[in-house]
Amino acid sequence: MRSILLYLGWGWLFIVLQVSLFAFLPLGEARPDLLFFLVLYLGIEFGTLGGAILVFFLGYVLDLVSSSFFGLNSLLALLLFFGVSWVSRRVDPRHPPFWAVAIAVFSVGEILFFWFWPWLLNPGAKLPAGLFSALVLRTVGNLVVGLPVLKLLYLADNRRGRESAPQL
Amino acid sequence: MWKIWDFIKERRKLFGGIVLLAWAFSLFSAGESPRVSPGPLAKVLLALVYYPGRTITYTLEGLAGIGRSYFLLVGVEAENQKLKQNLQKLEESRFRCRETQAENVRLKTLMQYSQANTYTAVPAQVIGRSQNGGYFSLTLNQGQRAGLRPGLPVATSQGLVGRISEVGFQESKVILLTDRNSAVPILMEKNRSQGIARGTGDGKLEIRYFSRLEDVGVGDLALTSGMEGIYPKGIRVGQVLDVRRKNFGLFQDIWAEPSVDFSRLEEVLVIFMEEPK
Repeated sequence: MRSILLYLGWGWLFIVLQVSLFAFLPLGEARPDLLFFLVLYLGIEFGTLGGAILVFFLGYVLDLVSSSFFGLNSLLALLLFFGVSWVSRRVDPRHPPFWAVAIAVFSVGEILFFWFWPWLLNPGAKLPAGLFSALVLRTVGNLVVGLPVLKLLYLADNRRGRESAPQL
Repeated sequence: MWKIWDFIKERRKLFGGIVLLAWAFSLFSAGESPRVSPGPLAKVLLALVYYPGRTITYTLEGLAGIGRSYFLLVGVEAENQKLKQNLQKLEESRFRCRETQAENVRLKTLMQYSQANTYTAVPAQVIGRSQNGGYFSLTLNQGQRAGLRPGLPVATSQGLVGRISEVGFQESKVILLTDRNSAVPILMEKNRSQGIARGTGDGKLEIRYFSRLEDVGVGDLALTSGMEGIYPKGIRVGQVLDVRRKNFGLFQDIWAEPSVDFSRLEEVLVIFMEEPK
């Protein structure tokens, strides 16, 4: 229960920062997605059903707060979580470069999803311009901010004592 | 029944995931349809994010506003100085433009005057004036370089100014019509009778050697006669101001007002009877 509250706290903090501080910074497409890092971390560290519910809930809150298309963040968070936890079971997720690769790959996946789902719903629609620059900028932005954030989450967990941390 | 429950329980992650995904898809597929007013839980969640988010945003905007105001004030002083300098430059430029425009009009008039006559002329600017007793002179900004030499007549579209007395490399001196040493052969426009216009030293002309028998009246126009070959014929010299016909002697006393207002001269034409060298 403590663990759920802790990650809910992280999620709340990240969403608040996402809609206030990060919305204020003039970063354009390079603006990182803080909740994305938490979902990634939960997928790597705790690929359980509890984690999936938590991730779905946080996506739902983000949808409530900021989404222009309700349900998009919930679905994306869930898909990301399952994707990361599936990959984590097949490679060593604690291996440091894994985080960077995971951030880069799933950033690209997230952007592609954001850009392509309207096209999937309506294949006749024209794809908006600037996809490549958006991919590069968002991936770089996520890498720059994401690695320290993942490290922070990891250290916070270790400080509490990973063994004593209840599994989600 | 229990077996099914056990089966589901053993694979709760899979089934839970499927349920969650189905839920997410259902939310997503209804995404763009108009959202109903948020329920109490959604309102609480919104408030939990909205108020801290608003606090952070207001704080950041406040800080940014203070920063902007400070830099704005610092910039305003510099900008003010710069604008003042620009204004001064523009004022100078406007003044120069106005002067150039006026000069252009004057030069055009001079050029038209020059073209209307057969002789060649070199335009020059008046750069100095001198009045010493009854002796009047001007300094021009053209000299030997422009082919000027002593004796050349100087005129404007209004009439005769005088003649060049001294020439420097890039400047020259002009003795005005009204100078005591000036004498110009003239003829009256009306009856073509001739005389000599001399400067009186007080800004007027005295027309001498004008026969007492000739009819001349106030307002008659005196032109250069072209005699002596110094001044071209037909340039206006002045207008008769006063005529005193005595009962004795050969000539009458005539005073005239010069055609040119010397006090306002800025550009003149130096006239060549032949092409300048």
